[in-house]
Amino acid sequence: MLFINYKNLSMLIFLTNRIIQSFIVLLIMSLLVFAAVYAIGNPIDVLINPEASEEEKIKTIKNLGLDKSLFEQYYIFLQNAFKGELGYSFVHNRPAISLILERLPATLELTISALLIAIIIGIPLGTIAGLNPDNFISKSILAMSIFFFSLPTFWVGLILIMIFAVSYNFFPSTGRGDTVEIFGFYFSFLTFDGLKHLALPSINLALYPLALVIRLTFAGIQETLPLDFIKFARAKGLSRFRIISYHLLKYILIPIVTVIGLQFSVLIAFAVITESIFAWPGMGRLIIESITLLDRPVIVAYLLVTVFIFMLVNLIVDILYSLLDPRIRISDK
Amino acid sequence: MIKNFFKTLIIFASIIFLSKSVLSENLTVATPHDPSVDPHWLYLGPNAAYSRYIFERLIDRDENANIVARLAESWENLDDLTWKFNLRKGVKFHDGSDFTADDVIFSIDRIPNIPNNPASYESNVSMIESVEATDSHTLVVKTKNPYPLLLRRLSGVAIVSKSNVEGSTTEDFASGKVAIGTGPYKFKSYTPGDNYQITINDNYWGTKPDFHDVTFKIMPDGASRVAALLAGDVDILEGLSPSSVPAVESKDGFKVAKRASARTLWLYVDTQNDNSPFVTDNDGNAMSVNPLKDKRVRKALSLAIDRDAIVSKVMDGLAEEANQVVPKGFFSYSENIPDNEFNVNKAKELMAEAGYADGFGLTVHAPNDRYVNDDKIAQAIAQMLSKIGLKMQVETMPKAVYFGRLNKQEFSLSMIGWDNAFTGSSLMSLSAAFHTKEEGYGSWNAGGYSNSEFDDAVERASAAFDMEVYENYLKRAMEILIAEDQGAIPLHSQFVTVGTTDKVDYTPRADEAFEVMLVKKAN
Amino acid sequence: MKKNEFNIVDFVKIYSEDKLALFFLINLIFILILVIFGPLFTLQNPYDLSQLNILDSLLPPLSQSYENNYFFLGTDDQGRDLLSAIIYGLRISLYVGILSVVISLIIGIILGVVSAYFGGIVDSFIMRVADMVLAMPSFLIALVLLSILGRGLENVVFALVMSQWATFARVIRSSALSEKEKDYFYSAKCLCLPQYRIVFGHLLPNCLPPIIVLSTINLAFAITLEASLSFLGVGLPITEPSIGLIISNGYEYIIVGKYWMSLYPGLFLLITVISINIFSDRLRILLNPRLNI
Repeated sequence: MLFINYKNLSMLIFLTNRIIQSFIVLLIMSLLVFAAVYAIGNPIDVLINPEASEEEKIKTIKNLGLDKSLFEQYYIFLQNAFKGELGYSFVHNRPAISLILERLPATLELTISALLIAIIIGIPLGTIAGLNPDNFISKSILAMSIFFFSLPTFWVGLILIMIFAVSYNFFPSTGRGDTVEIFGFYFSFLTFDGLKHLALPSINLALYPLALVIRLTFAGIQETLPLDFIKFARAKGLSRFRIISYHLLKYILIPIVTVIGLQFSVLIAFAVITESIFAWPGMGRLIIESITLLDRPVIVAYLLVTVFIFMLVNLIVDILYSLLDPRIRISDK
Repeated sequence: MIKNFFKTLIIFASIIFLSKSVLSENLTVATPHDPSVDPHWLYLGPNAAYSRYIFERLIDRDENANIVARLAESWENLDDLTWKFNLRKGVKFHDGSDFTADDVIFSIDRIPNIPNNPASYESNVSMIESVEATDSHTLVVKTKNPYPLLLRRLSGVAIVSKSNVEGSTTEDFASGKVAIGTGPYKFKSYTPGDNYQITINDNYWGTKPDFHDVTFKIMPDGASRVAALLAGDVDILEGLSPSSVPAVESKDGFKVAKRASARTLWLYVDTQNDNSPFVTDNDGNAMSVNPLKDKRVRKALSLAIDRDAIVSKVMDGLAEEANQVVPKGFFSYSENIPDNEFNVNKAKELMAEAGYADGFGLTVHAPNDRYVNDDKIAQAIAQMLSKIGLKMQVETMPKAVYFGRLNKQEFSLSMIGWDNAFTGSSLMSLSAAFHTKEEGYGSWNAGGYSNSEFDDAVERASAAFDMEVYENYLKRAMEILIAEDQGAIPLHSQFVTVGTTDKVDYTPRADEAFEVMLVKKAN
Repeated sequence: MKKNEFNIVDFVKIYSEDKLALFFLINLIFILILVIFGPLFTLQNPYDLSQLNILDSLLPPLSQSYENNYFFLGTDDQGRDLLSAIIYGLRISLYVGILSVVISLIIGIILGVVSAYFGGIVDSFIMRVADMVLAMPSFLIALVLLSILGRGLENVVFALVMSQWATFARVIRSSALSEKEKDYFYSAKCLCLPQYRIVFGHLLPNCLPPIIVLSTINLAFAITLEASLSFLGVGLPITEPSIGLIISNGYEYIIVGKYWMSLYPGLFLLITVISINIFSDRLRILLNPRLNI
């Protein structure tokens, strides 16, 4: 028996609202992206055989549909998109979406590992700094966070390679390790070799979000420490540890979760750099190759997938947010 | 209990022991190139190289660019237009089916008919008028016009299995479903952008290669490949940049296989337009006269380039100066063309003589991901040319964009590198890059060079069945192009360098293609 | 209405209470001087092809050039003096960064204030567009734009502006919205002051704190973004190398032990960005201690 009440209904309305909004944004993004990307030069010139005749060229252009007007091409693209097809890669002659989905696990592994590192190290550090903001350790932590924040990802990657791969040979500097298949997707974090390969790239990617998490936690603790309910908990005689780990953290988790959600798509973008340097076979490397080779369907598909992931993560964050903070549950924005 | 224990121990130990020995039969290669498993899809050098493992041709070129028999045992010319091929008997495809003439006919037919193929292998079969099987192992091929180079063209036609491939698509190849050939290796698995694996064909008709299983790790970044080699992740790496060669050689346990490749680099010069797109006067305004049309200016450009410095500094010694469009000692190399000279003063004099003592503005264009150190070479050239008064600019771009614009003749001074191993002579480069643009010729003539004497010599060469006559016409054409006209500015021939561990020996191919069959276990 | 008195001496005094921040501020000023006046003193103009000599390439730090000058930080693969290249490169990076932030700021102010002031459909529309831009990571926007437009200074600035303006617009709009509710605003309206006067004379100056902080944060981000794009090869052209490109050129030589080409430019870039970030952080604390990030 369906339990319909005010709470569930408003949640449902909220969800539907968000989903429709996201869908519209996705549609408009696809048009913009499509138009922009298809304005780039002619991929035929890239890949054509030196000896090809003019009629050969014309035939191929026709086959790939490059002679149609932009709107026609977009219309065909939309039709296919609804079927789940986002175009065929010019270079690999396979559906663009398969190429991306094949590489998605690798990028996700990298991004999630980086986020995990950022959270596991960042929250404790930020908490320590927030509890005693004036002592030397806290100040160093904060200074360090600015340091991490300012490091250019690509340069750090090179330095890491220089130190670890060339001089000390601890961690492998390139590529992904052995993978294990789960439901048809390949993941490498379940093998020791995989973890070894994951180490450097994820550390590289983690520095930026780490800095953010430290600062966020610091600011959050600073804000909540003087609040009434903490004073109340102390008055109740709860141990310091319990106050910090349970009451305090649960409260500041809200903004942290939000920002992490937002950072997710930024990380996927930055992963492009990390993947290039460490030869990590993820989506980021694919986009660079596709741009170089003017493989338009893949570029469009990639951008749409990224936006989609971002929307999805946003939606999840919104839901989590409303679950964690009842005050936000009903209203939108 | 104890008996069981020992049994398990023995089984365990033997598994480890056996797997170790299997492991040493494995070869791991780091390569920048992502393969196309379909051997008729996307005609690019590296893809053609990959197709050799699973598929074979009637005739192939060996590592020294010489013709060798493969699926065709022998052949003869019945007349100028007709060729007869006797196919090898007893050859089986990987699925056990027999190889027959029908498979060859099917393959030749398939090539021009693959939908959406951005770069087709059609140029290798377009001269064929008809193919007939007079019996299951004899083929008669008729060409439209006399075509002495048919054998060379057929070395670029991979034979697939009609029974399997008929009705399939390129995707079926990538999944391995119809990747069935007669070659020394069988398809194992392919993960695009990551790795490609092949395993030995136990029923191969010819000499078995040394390695049982081969894994290609696809790594587009050069420095990552070197790191992988030095870390022991791979046994051999394709595409070692010259700057990394000393690093690999100096380390114990590693070595570098080198070979002068048949690829020669040169600069196209725009001699066609009166108003050349990237030539300006010293203030940056367009000029109504094209200084590059003056032979003295072209000569000056050539004199100003210190090829020795490029070879030693930019190519780390891994290149050979070229004074024409084929490497020294290559078939059809002309001894009559003088060596390159580096003389800045003489260059300045020539410029003054031509009326450009104050120089002019010029941009040099090059790809940045095609030839060894292409963008660095372009920058070095710009540096050198600026010393004779030219206001130089450099623009490099990915090969994707570069070759398209090159073919539309959008540049004034542009770089290209041509592999001469396909035809084994200068014919392909001369006829495609310098013959006046017309039907069947000059499709790559980006400089607009046009000389009727030259055209005549090239045409005669391409119809000549006699090797000596062939070579002489090519030499004459080259002399007209370089010594008389300076229609192009040759630079150097690059080296193909492959890094390996001490455990393997590799002989690089002259056409720069990587071939696993040439990798041998070191003693 | 009187504006707040702003005394620079007092400001510097308060600022200097944090010694670290002071150190980096001095650092930043030093870098600015280096970058503005440096070219007068450098060994060569690394962008002038006729001053380069390929025979000088790949020399390690403190090597001598053919004219008995010292290459303090060595040379790159084209024979460019690394120190000169770094100074010129930093110059371009700062120029591009500052220019793109200023343009984004102007666009952001116009759109943000218009949005907040007029509300309704105009507000909705502008914010929707801004949301769409914000839905995509700025790095990707810039990357795709540059791959379409090609390399070059104007293109890089354009791409950076495109990826940043939405942030400015949003922040300024929120700021303007909250200022709109305040008393002084109503008073100004009651006095029937002309609109532009209300906006420029009253609204904006009070939105200044978040604008300043945002601008400095974005400046550091823009500089890093430009360096990353140049590193990937889609930023500035190769004969006017920015820091990112120099580092990228040096990548293949790290393995061979010729690390200086990637190490030193990166260090300079890092110090510049840290200095800007610490400066902006200090400003943020001073201007509004309760502001979160």
